Amino acid sequence: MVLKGFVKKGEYFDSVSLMIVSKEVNALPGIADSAIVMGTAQNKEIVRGANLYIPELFDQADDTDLLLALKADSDKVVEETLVKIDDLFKALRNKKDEGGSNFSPKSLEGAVEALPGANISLISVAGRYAGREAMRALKQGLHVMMFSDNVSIEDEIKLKRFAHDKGLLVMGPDCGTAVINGVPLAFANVLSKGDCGIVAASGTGLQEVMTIISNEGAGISQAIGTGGRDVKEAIGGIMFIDAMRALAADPATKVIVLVSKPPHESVLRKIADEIKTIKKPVVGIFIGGDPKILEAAGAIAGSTLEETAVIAAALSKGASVDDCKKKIADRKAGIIEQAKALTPKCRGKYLRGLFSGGTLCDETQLICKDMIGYINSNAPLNPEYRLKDSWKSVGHTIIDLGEDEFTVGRPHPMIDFSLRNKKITDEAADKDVAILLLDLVLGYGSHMDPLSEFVPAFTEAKKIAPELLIICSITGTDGDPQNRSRIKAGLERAGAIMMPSNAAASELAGNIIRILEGK
Amino acid sequence: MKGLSPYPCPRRCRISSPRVLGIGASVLPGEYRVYARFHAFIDILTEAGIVGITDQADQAGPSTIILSPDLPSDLVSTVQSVSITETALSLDSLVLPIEGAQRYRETLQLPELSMPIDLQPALMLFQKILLSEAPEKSMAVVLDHSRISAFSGNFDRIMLQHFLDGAEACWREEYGQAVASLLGSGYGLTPSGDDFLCGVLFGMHFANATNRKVCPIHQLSTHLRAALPTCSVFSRTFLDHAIAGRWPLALRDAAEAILSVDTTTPDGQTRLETLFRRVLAHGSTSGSDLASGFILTAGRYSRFSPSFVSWHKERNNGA
Repeated sequence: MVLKGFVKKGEYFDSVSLMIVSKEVNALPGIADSAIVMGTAQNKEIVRGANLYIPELFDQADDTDLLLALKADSDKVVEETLVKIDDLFKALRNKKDEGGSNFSPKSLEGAVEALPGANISLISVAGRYAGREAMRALKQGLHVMMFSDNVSIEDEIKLKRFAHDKGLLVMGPDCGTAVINGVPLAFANVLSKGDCGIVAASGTGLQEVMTIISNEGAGISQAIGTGGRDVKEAIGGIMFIDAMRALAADPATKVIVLVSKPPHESVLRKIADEIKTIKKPVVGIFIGGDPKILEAAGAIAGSTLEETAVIAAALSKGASVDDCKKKIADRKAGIIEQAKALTPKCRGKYLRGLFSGGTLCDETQLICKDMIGYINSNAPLNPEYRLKDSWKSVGHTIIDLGEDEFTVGRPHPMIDFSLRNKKITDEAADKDVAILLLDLVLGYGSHMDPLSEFVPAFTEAKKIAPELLIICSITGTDGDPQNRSRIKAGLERAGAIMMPSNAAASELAGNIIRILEGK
Repeated sequence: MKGLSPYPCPRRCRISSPRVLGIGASVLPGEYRVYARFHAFIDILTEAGIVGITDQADQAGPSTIILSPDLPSDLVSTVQSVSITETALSLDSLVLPIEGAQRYRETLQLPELSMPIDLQPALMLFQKILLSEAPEKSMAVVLDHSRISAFSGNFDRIMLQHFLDGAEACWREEYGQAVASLLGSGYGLTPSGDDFLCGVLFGMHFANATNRKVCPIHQLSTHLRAALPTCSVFSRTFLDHAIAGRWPLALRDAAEAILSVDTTTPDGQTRLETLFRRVLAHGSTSGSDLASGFILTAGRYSRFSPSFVSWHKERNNGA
């Protein structure tokens, strides 16, 4: 056994750094014991007690020096360990230096003090703490975006009433997407700046609408998420209405867009009443809801997320809404022709959808319902069509892989593709499957290199079943870190049929199945 | 949009032109030399001891100067000369007025209590937060036996023995032994044992004021004072203030809140949690070591039994 050591004169390290290094060193093979401490008199005694003391080195050291002693199997191990220790200290120093160049406050109060102009706080902590943190932020006069979920409905009501009285917004809980003054928050996309302001109680619904608006050549002033529960009866749409008022008062917003699943009837009435007071054009979609209520209130109702976005973009650019609707109708006719051309080439009879976006999954079921009826799902439109086992497809099946049953213990499918990729090859192996329908959401927070995930899975699926149709849409923009055009080209090369929107992809899939079924 | 005005950089910020936000009452005018530089911290030295300059308001104390909002990293790494007058702090050529800066109150001023107060809920909460956040080889091990496994090597185990012997000596009010075991023991620049002893001293002041106990403060102070020359300059300054009854702001705020905040309400608990976390944010392990000493001692002299009691019994029974 070899005992070696050294003294680093005047080297200061905090205790956590020394503990980290010490722990790593003790775990190295060939190291019997080690001491890495400041050279206080007491510490020297402890080093002596551990039989690690080297008098000729340590006698002269004092409490501002770092002592290092190693007991190891051989000189070689000591030499290797000393190199490793140097690397560890360097890494710790670099980490601190990086931290030093960007202020990182330890509390909300500290952050407010350090950033006096800030007026919004993003809360992303465990649900049971989120309400408390949000209230602290509101009391500091900050708007709040709550990424956290699992916040009680009572807390949500309390927070939103408090915020309403203070003239502040609470976006969430469970609000995954917002764009405020051009700054994307959480799962969000890089968009053109413009005059379309959006209020949404639906995360991927908001992403689909705002990216299409941007891709159509218009832009976004604000995109305010409210959290899905806001439009339920218990919350009463407090923030949905407040956000509409904020956009109505915002000089940078010319067109107001509303996106949600159907609100509770009482909330819908309030929204309709609010629309009547707004002097700016309002376009809305309550996915699966009755568009007549919106229209009666003076808004333009979109039938799909894409149509809503395209109309909003047209209004923004001063184009005719009628021309815009005609363009969409022509596109639909083109999709029917595309379906007719594809149908003879495909095998099987079933549609299988694998979605990462919950709202996109809903929209697909709605679009397909009119063509092929209700579809089996783990999140069905009609409860009678709920799958008994979400892991097992039956007939036409559309799965929302973002539901809790799939995300417990694993990241969201927008980030982790492993489960979806497995299901892609499983479905390909089922001879009755004609179409795989997929969404792909880009932007901040999503997987940074989706091609590396989808291309091998598509290639494998096509190898198993060359006639299988893989139809895919992308929610994203060319400004997103992943670049929509690049991803689209890559997936086309892998054999996918790329459609410009979720609605278009759903229409193509639905039409093919309709033709296959002779409807 | 009204109320959501554009802000150029909401996620990350660098703010220049610091100002002096606060200054410890024990910071004296004079010429200082730079003694040590840390992340967001500069230590300056005179014969009177160490003074810390930082942008972290949680670190306010008798001998700290708090700058706001941000201590530029280039200043931390380059400043050579520091002088303090009655009116200004000079960091090389950068002159920052002191006028208007807060002078931190240092002494503990607890409210008058008409009857003994039940400290159990607050101390239990403090202990819970401490044990969830303390670094693994800190002195929180004296309150949680499961942390022993972190002390793996022979050297670590001897260090652990010092921690445990010192804590037990504090519990038995054998302060000569406590100081002998703890002072200078620990991994970092301010050894854990020093911070723990400071926490013990603070716990005694707190217990005297709250439950009208007469804790042997003078005994511990005497032993500490005698041993101060053997301490590092950092610990010496820190302990010197503690013996004189001057405390870090975070510690005082936490102690005063324990007596004034209603622990039965969510707002009260939130307030206490915030203040406790501020104590734990001191240094890297200093806050945890300090809190461990405080909880042990405040519990020792109140009806609250810190978890030290149960597991230490096990240890002494050979478990």
